[in-house]
Amino acid sequence: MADNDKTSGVNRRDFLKAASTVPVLGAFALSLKAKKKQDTLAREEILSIGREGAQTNPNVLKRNYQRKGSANDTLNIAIVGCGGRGKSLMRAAGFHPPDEDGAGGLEGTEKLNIRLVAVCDLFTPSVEWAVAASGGTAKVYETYQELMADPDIDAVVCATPDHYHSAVTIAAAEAGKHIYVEKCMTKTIPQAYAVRDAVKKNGVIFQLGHQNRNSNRYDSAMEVIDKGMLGHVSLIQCYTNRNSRNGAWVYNIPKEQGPKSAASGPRNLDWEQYTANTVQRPYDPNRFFRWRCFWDYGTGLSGDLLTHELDVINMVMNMGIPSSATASGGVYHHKEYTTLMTAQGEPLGSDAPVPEGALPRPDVPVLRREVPDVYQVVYEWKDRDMTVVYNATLSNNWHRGQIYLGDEATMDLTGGVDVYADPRSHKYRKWLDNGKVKPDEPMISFRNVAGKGIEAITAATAQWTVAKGLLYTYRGGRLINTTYLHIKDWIDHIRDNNPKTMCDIDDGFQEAITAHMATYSYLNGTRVNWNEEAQEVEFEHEPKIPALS
Amino acid sequence: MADKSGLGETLKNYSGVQTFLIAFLRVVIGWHFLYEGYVKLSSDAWSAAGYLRAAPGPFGPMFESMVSSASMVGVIDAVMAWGLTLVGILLILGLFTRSALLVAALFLLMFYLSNPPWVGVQFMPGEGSYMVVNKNLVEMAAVLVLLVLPSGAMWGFDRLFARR
Repeated sequence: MADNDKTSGVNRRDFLKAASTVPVLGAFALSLKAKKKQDTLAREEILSIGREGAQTNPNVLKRNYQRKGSANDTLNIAIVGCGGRGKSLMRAAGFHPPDEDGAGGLEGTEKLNIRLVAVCDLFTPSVEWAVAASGGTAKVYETYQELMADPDIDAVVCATPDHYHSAVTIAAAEAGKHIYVEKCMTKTIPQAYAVRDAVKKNGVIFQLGHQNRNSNRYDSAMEVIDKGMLGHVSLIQCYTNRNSRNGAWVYNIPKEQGPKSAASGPRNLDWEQYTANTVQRPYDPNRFFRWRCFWDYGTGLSGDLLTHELDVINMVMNMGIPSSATASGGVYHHKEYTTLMTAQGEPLGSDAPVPEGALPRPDVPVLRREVPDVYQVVYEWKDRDMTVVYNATLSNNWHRGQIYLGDEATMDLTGGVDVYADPRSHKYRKWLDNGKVKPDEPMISFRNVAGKGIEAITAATAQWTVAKGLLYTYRGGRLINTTYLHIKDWIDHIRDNNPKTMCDIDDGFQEAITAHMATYSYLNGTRVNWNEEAQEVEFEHEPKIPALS
Repeated sequence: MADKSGLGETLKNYSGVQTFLIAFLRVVIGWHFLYEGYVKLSSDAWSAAGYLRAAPGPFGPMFESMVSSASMVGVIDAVMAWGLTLVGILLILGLFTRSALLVAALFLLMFYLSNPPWVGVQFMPGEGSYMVVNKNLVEMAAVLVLLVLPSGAMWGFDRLFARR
């Protein structure tokens, strides 16, 4: 046998046996080709169902902005209001005290080339934090008015409570400084007009802090809408679900708290200035550190969490201000809260387990919130034949997403982007009948990092914030901080002198009016209308149809 | 590996059916590895990071620590995607079979330990129902069987290098 031919080493028969499995690689390649063809066909077939992209939504053009100019010139920024959100913004922009960790999701991102040069805050420890974050060089201003007079400052980040948003934004615009302001853009309806006028008149670059616009799932959602794949969208449902005291804005109160006028104890807080433009009341730390619970300073669920939903729906659907808003709700769960400390006098976090011997803190009164913790709003867009229902409770964490209900299909933005053909659809009849599309399986499904990225974050709240884009999104397979992306978008637009930021002043105006319509409806117990022609909000105080007639 | 009587003599001890089935087992495992590797190489969004961060069980923290930085994730992703592809090709060809099998067994052991279907472990569910034994363990056992057989020298390029 040839096998026994020891002198020749390798003979023909040996070689045939050695190469016997090579054709398997050929079979693999052929299978791969066939599979790719099948996958591509399925994808193209589904996408061909939609019409040609209408491209009527100008918001598409704002996505993933590419800076045109150079970033060699360092921009000088100032922070006004450096509490919880202000610190998050500074961390996302790359500033934090040397002994603290920076923000997550910045790995591999472009440096913004900005300098933190000034700070204004009414609570001394927050001022000290910002100075440390700047490397010890930031100038400290007692008032935002003095800060605006500093010619070295190019741009201002405003993360004060809502009742100072418009004042700081208008002052910045008048001083020719670009401005990034947190949502809600203003506290009242008239302020929304004033801010819009000031920003437009002075030509400064404005960004409203809706960082979740940067979540890459909206790229897919906007494509689906643009191709008309859902048919006529008559109803959109959106939700906020939280279940913790912190989530209900009952934040921790530092023990360094105390007004500058205090006879004894810490004197760290400028209560006079804090209340200068709102209702005058005696000092109450709840009203400073937990300001979102009170109408004097905040805008409640409308301005804080509803706007996250309504703002991105407005981006995806481009529908502007609703023709009417009706709201209801109440303080149903977080009625009263006594702030506690340990037996040794150390403050306890509002969500921390209560140890044996815990006592009420003598320096913090009982908290009785004013803003509702259960809240519903129904918005109508008469010109679009469409309703948006917002629904929230701050005492249940069940994850409910954002759902677009069309007569041809449903788009579910709960986890990623899932588009389901409606079983009664006409457009998808053929595919439903031949089984290529199943009503209970998404015909289009967009998941970040093949679904693995989202699973990577195991804590429920973190999952929620990725799904909603509030903290992170994905770029090139990496988890990226959306607040960083939003600040970068603003900085890039400043460098290009382009006012069309991701959430510009027109978006901001719409956001504020939309939010306030709901708040006013809730507070007045009446429907609130938007007169598009007159660009005015109108109230329905008198019943149109007499009751019980 | 080759005994004193020479590889040719050893191979003669296997029937034709045995030789075929041993090669078949090696080739299908190779195919599986190659496609898993290809999918990871061809997807720009794939990363092992999410899976490893979510790894349950007693080895969970170890796997999590492996992906603590972006550069580590990059290395692990590359090792996974290219490793699986290369092992797959080598197993199909029967080239450097023994080394490829060793690497394959190591991969499978890692997959098994990163999500062990043990009683008391909240493992990540997949398709199928498992208790202690799952498909990773079965595939690893098959790889170990192949390790003690001269499969590459039967049908495969290792035949060309075998001492006889």
